[in-house]
Amino acid sequence: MKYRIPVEISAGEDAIQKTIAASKAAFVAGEAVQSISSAEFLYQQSRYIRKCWWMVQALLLLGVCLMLHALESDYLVRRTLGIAAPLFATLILPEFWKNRNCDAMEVEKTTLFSIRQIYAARLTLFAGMDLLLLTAFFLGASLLTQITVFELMTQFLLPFNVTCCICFRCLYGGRNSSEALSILLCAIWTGLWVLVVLHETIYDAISVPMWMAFLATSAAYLGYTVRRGQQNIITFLEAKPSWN
Amino acid sequence: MELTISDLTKDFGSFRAVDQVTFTMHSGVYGLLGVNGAGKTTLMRMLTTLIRPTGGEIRWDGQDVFRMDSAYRKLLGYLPQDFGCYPDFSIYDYLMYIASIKGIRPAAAKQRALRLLKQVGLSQAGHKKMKTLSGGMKRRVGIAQAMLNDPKILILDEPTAGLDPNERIRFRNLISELSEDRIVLLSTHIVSDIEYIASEILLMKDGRITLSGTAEEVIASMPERVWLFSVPREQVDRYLAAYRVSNLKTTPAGATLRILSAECPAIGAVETAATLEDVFLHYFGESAGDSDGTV
Repeated sequence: MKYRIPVEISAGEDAIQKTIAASKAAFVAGEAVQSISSAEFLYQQSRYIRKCWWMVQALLLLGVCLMLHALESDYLVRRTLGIAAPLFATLILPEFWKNRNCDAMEVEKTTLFSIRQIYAARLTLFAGMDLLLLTAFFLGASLLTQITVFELMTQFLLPFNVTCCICFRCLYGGRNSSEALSILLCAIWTGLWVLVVLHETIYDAISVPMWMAFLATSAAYLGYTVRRGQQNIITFLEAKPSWN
Repeated sequence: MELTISDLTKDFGSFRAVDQVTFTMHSGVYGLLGVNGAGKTTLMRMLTTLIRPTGGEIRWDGQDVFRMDSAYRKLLGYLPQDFGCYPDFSIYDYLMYIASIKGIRPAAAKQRALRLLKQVGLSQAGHKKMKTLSGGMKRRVGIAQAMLNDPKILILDEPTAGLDPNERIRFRNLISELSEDRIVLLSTHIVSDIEYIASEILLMKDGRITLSGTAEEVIASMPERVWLFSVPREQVDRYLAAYRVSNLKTTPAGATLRILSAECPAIGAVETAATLEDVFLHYFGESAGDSDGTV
């Protein structure tokens, strides 16, 4: 008759630690031979964007929403939206200009993911976040106020698109343009826009289809500006005349 | 491992910055020596694909680097002359950011960043903001970022500019340490930066490579001889005007001059071994007098 003999098994701490270390080393070695995917790159880029700008954008829209709720006159609503939209757009500027302001592009243009891809990632992230914020704003404004979605689109989205066009034209505009220039141009545009929307005769003369046409044109031109800029960004450093 | 440059030319309008440069690099340290304005930075920018040449080609193991595109950039580590970085990032965050755009996965990036920080002597400073770093520390971060992807081609444009002598020596040793099994191209106008570590020296002048070879070969190529002698103070100006003086040391009696000349310049002058600084003065003589020609 056979009996089981109890055997006491004790875990060897050293062996466990060695196994852990070997596993970690094998994992890192495996990671070292692979490059990150485009989705991972996008995620990594999101980690290096300063979130405070999104916070400021969200606070601005919240403030505008509350103001619209309090305002009675169409005149003031238009003025508020006309000023808020360019301001909302210009809040993306610091993050897009930081490569150039910090002279970081020369290194970034020689890496596996090119400067074009870095900008594309930032554009995607900001576009995604702004879409979320604007959707929430439009919903909130529609519920809290008497403003129609059409009004919001013409009074907010149209100046927003034009401001973005100005910002991106300057951003992709070669080494002679600057962040300060884009802010100046945006300020001039805001002034012009406010003058137009506050001038009743001009405002009333523009029919609904015309507003829609303006909106569609601004959106199309924004798409064109970004696309063209993304194509030309590679040649940006060509203009830098340093031949030491 | 072969990087071949053939008839490489770059024009900026009517100005020719690089003029039909041809050379081949294998594993080792290559020192690109020339005064400011010689075309070193333009040549390096073309090698990093930052700018496209007007003529000629660059090939890596037979393939055109501009066609290779990201496959070539994957092999590349680059420290530009004006190394810009994000001032609000910590050193560690900056390296992790660069690792991400170099396509390195986070686990490997973390390990490499920590190892490189140790290698460049910044392991205790990883948390420091970039804006608080001294010029020397910033340059060390620069070399760490260039090395993150373990590049086969490491291009360093004036890496020692603005460094004090101690930092310069430390940097030189570091580059020497990192040069194993890769091509390191280092541009400078400071002779001592490359004298001891470069396996081959390329002398660049007016956009052309005027001379190349080992330090010994480059020194041996100089047709002039080097003379040492002392002169009374009142004769110093005469020798400065007549000869290329690679060194002038003031003494109580006058001055000891180190002169480049094919013939013995004065009675009592003793011929001495030439150095790379003498060669620099010989080839870049007309520029050596101004501040750009620091040796």
